[in-house]
Amino acid sequence: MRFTVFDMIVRLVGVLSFLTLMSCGRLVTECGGTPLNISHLTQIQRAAFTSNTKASLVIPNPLDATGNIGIQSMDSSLINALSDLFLPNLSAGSRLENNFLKVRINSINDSPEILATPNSNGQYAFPITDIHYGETMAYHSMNAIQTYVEALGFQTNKARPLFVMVNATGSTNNPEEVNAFYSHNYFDTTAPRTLKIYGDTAFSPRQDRDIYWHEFGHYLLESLTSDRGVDFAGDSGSIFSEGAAIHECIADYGAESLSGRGYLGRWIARNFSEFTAGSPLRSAEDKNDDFNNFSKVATFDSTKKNLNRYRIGEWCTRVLWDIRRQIVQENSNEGRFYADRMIFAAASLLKRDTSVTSLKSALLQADEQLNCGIHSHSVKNAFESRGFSSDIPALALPLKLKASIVWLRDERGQLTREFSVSFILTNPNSDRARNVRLILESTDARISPVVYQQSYGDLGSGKTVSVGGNSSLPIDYSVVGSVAPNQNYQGAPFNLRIKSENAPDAIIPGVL
Amino acid sequence: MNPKIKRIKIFWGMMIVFCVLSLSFFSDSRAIGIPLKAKRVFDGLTGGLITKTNLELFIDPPLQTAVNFDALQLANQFIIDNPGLFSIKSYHQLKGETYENPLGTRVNYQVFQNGTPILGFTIQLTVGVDHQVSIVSNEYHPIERVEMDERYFLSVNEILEEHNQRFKLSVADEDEGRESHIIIVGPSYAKAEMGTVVSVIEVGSKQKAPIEAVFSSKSGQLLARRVAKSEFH
Ligand SMILES: [Zn+2]
Repeated sequence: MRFTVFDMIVRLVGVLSFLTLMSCGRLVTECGGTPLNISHLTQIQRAAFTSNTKASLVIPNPLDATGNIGIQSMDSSLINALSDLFLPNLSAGSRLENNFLKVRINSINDSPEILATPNSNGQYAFPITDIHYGETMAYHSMNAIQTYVEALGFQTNKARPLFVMVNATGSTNNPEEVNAFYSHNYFDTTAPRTLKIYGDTAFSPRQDRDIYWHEFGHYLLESLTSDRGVDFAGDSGSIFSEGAAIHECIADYGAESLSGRGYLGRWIARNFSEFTAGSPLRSAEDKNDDFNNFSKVATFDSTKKNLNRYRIGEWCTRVLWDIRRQIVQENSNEGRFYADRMIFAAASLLKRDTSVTSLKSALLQADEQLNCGIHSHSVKNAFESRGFSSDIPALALPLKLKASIVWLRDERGQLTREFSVSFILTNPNSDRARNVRLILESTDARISPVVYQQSYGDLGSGKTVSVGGNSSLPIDYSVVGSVAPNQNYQGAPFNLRIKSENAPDAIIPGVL
Repeated sequence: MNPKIKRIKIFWGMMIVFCVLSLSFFSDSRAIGIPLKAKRVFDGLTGGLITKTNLELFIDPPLQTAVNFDALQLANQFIIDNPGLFSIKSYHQLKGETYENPLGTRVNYQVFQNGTPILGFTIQLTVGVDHQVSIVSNEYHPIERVEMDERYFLSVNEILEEHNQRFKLSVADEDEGRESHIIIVGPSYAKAEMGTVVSVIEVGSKQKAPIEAVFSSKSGQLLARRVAKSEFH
């Protein structure tokens, strides 16, 4: 047998590569995570369950199911789009509930007689415009996504039940007002979690699986992070925060990835005049809009358009979608599941009042632990290519603040025991300041920060945020502190701290 | 250029070339998540291609939810063994619950004083398959004991009166008569006290959704308020 020169070179390179790998490569076997049950996950993703109870639903909503952008819920042709689905995990009895998930119409205390019950064939089958159809859709959707995250290996906190009200009372009495509220009820640990859906329109949100899956994402993120408050500031009343944007991002990503569509909310977007028929509410796939580039969604300007959590939120879903796309490219059948596991695992690492920078680190850490870090390049690239660079210049000077105290009045014009600060905040550096925040710190037991933090995004060189007085931003964009009703607060000190990711903190002491 | 530096540069250049070459050589490495007993395969560097070749490794393995060790016990021991990391005061109690997570079993602790939860004081540990315990987050702070004598507490009506009826109790079904207590700590730990949690509506406000508010049980001071996440407005 003769070796050609080429054979020799190939073998030599092979041996050297092997030896080199021992030092520069890593063994997948050293850190390969628990295998996923792919057929089970695929079954869940296709809603191919079996159970004793069946439902008849248009999945995910009339518009996406038919591809007809003009369709309305009362169209009789929709009967052809109904599919038979199973409703697993129901408790015994004829109600849409189990130990954790409980579907209601108006409120937690709805009397059982008004709720949906199965027909004589044991089937929950109702016309799409019927309120009971909404209840059935709520149970099917919430149960499906809950089952999915569990199959990925995430156990969620079910210590308190989650009530879903598909036509909740209490927001406004206007049936045309479309909305959805998720309440985690941190303060009252005896209260259940609640999801309230509002809007009795021709494109009711209760008929759209996307809404349930998005709202489930809010519950999921709180649960994965053990209630430590990924958006503690936002939950305490601040208007904008990166934590709030990431909450929306994870909620959208979960809905978009499980459906595999890369967008959501085409049905409910029909309720809002700013969307043309058929446009999605939000999209993780690129569109010709502002959400492809970080600077367009994060840079502060006086129009305050970027002090809106959905802008960074939608941008963030495109970053996650890039990462998912890469993993799906590597493994077309199963990549979606590995991507979701990695992204939810990263979400579970987020700290209190998180940020885009923290999300990026969490993704790298989750990838390192689950996949030996083989996607770290993809993760970094996804952020960089969408305008989020970690390599930002460190600024020499703290930001400048000029502030004065404003006592707040209630809706009837009476003075309250809460104060805020009107201010002018300037970035004196020659580069932008990242993720600028104003924080109220109490240094005296008489003062309690209520809205303890507000965020203003990225502030360009020489740019100014001005809040209160005759400024473009009303006082609601400032922090709020309180004093006790019958206490002398004169002389009580506090600090205002300006934080940014690349500038030194500025601390400005104040006195009431 | 100094010949020594040149040699080092050539050496490193070769190392990088071999690392890259090795990737193409072993590009039939398998998908992430292979079982520990699978034959050793190599995968290296970031962004490497992953493909699945060994189908038999992926035949519906059952999800490993049950762990063969007591994560809670290990986490408890970790807290006890590390007083420098967790300076838990004797008047605080920790309640732990375990949750499965692909990054390791999570043990979540909530902190209480005499059975009343302290808002935001959570500790989350993770216990790996190797029994290694690590901290995911620690929001505990060794605050002073909070006054809990109910004789000094205001009733909900007294609290609302203190605010000149600016707030009224929510009449939403699920809120009615609901009142609970929580220990609330300022973000800079300057103050910790007992709070009364009620669902209120701000009189005259356009916002009709109830606010979850916490008032000082002793002085009626508004300590925190939270609004539900509203999607469209
Ligand atoms: Zn949301």
